[in-house]
Amino acid sequence: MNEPVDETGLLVGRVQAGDRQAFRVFIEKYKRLVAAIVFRMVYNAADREELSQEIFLKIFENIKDFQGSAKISSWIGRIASNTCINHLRKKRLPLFADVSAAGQTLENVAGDSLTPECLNEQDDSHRNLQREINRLPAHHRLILTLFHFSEMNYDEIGKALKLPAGTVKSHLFRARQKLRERLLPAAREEA
Amino acid sequence: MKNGHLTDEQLQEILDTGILHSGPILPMHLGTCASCQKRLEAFQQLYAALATDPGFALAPTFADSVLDRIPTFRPLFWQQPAAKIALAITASAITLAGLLIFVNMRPLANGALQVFEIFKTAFFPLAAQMKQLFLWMGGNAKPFLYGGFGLFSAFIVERILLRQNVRHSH
Repeated sequence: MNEPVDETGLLVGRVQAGDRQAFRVFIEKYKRLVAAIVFRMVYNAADREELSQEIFLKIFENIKDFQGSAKISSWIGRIASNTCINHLRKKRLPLFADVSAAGQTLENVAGDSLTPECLNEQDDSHRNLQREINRLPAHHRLILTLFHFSEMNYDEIGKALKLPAGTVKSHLFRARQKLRERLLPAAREEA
Repeated sequence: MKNGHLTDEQLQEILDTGILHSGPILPMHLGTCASCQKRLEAFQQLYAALATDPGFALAPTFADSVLDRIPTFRPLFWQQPAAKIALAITASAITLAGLLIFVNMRPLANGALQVFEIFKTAFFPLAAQMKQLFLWMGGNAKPFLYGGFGLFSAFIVERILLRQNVRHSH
């Protein structure tokens, strides 16, 4: 997600001043990023909508504290991931176990929340990838999303999740390794 | 390296950071090893797939729902800037009126006049001497004044032209 500095800085400044119209533009601009994080972490459709709203409310309350030292997308990623982690803890859902191992079902996962355009465009390999990502433990899914979608680096992810950068790196490697192992037989079958 | 090849962690580190902390020798291996190149390409494809927008969609009215939950802040009457200025002027007028009505201002007025007479006695001759000095400087420093004015004008023109150039280049 490339961010032209001047435009984004102006928008953030207006939101900090309490401009509601500017905040509407801000929501439209970053709701995909928030959705990517929330939908990866939370399976219940009603909870997703509620959590996404809660994240943007927190952003509005705390944006005055944003100094501009980091990218705004990283700052949003941090708020979104902490909100999701707190939600999972409150619901006593596991953060570190595979979905299949924890006995959870994959109801209300990505498949029924995709835009029609995306459903048409996606091929089988992409759907397989999304399915396998959803099977990973919550913390792996989160770190993968923050790294590849929010474009945060190891240090930024570590600060957001209160983990050392080395631990973030090792989680990332392990998550990708699992995906490769699970997807490779499927890729060979397609070939 | 493992068995003479880059490990999966090393390949991912190259893609994540663009550099490898173990030194330049290992990336050079990539240029010569077809097997490691193939594994790197497989990781690059995985990275590209992971960075693809998964297409998760929130409701079209999502922004409205968020904005409805933000309380609208209306400043109280005395917090508005115009009201603050009006209150300050009113308070000053009341204070001045009170002083004029209830306080005997004659001693204060006499004191102010005395101070003015002292300044007049002390500084008026000095002011006359300063005036002589400036007249002399004006007569003898004309070239420097013209030169200074010219430099100042050039500076202003250059600033205006520079600002126009910057504006046009955007």
